[in-house]
Amino acid sequence: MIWLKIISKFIKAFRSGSTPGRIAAGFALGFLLGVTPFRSLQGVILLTLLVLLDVNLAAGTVAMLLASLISIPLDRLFHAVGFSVLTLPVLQGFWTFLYNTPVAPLSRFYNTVVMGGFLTGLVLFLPLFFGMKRLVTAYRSGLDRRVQQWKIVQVLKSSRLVRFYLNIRDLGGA
Amino acid sequence: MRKKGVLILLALLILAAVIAFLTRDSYLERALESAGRAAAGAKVELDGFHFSLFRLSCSWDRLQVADRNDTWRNILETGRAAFSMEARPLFWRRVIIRELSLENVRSGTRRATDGFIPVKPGPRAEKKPGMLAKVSSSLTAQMQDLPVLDLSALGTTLNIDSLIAVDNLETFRAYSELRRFTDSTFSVWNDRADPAPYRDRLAKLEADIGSLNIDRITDVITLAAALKKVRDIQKEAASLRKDLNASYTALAGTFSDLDTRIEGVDGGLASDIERAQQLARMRDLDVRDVGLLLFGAPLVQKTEKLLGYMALTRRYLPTAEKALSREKKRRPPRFQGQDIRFPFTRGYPAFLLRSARFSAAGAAADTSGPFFIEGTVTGVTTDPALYGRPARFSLTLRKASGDTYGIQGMIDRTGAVPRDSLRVTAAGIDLGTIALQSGANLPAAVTAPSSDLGLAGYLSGEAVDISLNMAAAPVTFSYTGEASDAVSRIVRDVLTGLSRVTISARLQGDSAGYGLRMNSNVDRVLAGRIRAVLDDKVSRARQQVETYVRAEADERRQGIVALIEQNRLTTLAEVDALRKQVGDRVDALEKLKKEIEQRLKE
Repeated sequence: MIWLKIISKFIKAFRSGSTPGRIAAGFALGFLLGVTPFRSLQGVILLTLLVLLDVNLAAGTVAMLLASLISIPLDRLFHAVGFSVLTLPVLQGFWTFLYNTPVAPLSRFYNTVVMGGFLTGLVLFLPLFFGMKRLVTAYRSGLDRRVQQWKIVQVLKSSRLVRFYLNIRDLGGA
Repeated sequence: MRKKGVLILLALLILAAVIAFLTRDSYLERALESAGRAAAGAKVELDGFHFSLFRLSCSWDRLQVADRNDTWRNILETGRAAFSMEARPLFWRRVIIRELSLENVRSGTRRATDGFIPVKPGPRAEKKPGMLAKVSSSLTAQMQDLPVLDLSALGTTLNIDSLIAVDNLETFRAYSELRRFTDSTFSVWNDRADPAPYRDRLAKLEADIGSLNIDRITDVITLAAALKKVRDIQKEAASLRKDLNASYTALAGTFSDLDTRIEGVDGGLASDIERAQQLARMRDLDVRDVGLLLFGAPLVQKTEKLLGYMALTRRYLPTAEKALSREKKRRPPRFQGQDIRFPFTRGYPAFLLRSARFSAAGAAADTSGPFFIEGTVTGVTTDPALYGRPARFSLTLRKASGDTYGIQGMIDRTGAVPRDSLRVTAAGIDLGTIALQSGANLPAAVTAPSSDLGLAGYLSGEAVDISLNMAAAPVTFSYTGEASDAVSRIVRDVLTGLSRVTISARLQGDSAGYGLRMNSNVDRVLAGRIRAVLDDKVSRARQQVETYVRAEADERRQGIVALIEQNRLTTLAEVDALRKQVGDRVDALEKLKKEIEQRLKE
């Protein structure tokens, strides 16, 4: 049920409330967190940032969930990216230096999937931020009405599951 | 900045800290026990474990490691232990313990509960036997090869078939091969030197000579034609003679080769008889054998136990080479990627125990008869090559009765070849009653209440050299039954008169082979007196084996010789006869040619 609540909050924020910038920042940050293994230093830092910064938490959570899901099939791609970056001769000195510093190894940067996932997330960070910001603005300025008229949305709205969720939510006083 | 977020984060952090504070000790205790169980193959129990994050120190009140061979006893039990870890290496997940202090260290204490854990049978990859396994199997083979001391086994009629498999002897194998070779050789020669075509060619030659009839020729032209024909027949005769000579030479060479081969096989018979006698364990009694017959079994048993501990150190403390190859073999599991290793310049091994200090001062009240252990162990690490120094230990094992063993040693895995050295000394120890080799004529056990012993040796790669010197006085031998024959009586007579036994043993060898040599003050006198009784019986038994092997060998040899002789009489003799007949025809033709030429001149 918690996931339905988060999705519902995300949809609500998408339609109104939180600013497009906050939603986009939350989404981009959540995505970066989703492609980064949580059991690493940067995972903890990103999660802390997501909680501390004034970004949309629901968007961040949804993005993290989505990114985690797409990471599974993209594992080989992350490995390939990480492997090429970590074995790049020109960077060997830098990686060796990092490997020998006290804190950096806690990030597990030397792991191909960690490095590949993090780099992919970083590269996609700005495009995701601006893309999401644009999408939210466009949605609010007219797309919302058209989406509400989609047959699939009508069907979903009248579905038992959604009605059941709404009943539960209203019982809780939400 | 989100205020609510800060509060949530703080709350989460406090909650995590509280949970960690409350559960860390039990969690770590369980994890260590589980790891210990996997390594020891028996129960490992920690009591009162405590970990302090701020001081980076650990301690426990009691540790028990059950002996997997006797699960109601502990192979190691300690009282309070404390150690602290170095902070900096933990950033690289490397655990370096400065000094571990263990109190009330004992081995062999009684357990209140059974220390058995069920071991899951899993598929094990077949491994090449290691050096220590090879040493162990060499010792077992050496013990099995010891001569028979039991007179009943040397009865008048030996069932030799049950003692030795003659087909495994070298000579018998060689005879079988020679038989196969002879059969195939003659099968080839029967095709190649078949006399029938030669006989046909000879008959044609004779017909041609007969058709000449030069006495009836009167004119020169016919005489000249006859001369030409004689020359043609001569050519054919020469060709036939050449073919027959070639066949004869080759065939004679084959027979000569077979004769040489038989002689070669015959030459190995003497050593095979010796081997058969050894297989039947009828070797001459050696002085060395007496020591091994008497004291070999417990010594081999103790050596195997010692080698087992050595194998354990080789398993858990690999050489640099092995550690690196293990690293290479590691495959990245799915979704977890691959860790790329960069040069690590800090020089921290993954685990290092710089020093451990054992004390047993507070455990004197333990009456379960354990060994109290005191001393130091230094430099135990998972990366000896990186640490650059071998692990050393200097321990004293003391029993409540006063028996004390001093053990010093070194486990060096800093190079490609593992090197271990060990030195054990003890004075006035009570060895108790030691079970000896079971045998009708030998003592079943010896009791030695006071012994001095010294063991020193090393293992370097595949090479082993361990020496043991032991002196026990007084000694009492015990037997399972009454003395039934002369040997038993001699053994009892000699051993009863002994008040002191000295033994020196040496286990030595390398990849080419391992052997245990043993001498004792009992050897010479006992060997001399037993040999006088045994020699006659043994030599009779040896003669029986020799007669049997010779008869079996002769039977196989005769079969081959008969085959060769049969072929010599048929194929070779026939080719030789044809060769002579053709030679006669060649001579006759030459005479005929000269006669025609004379008549033509006239």
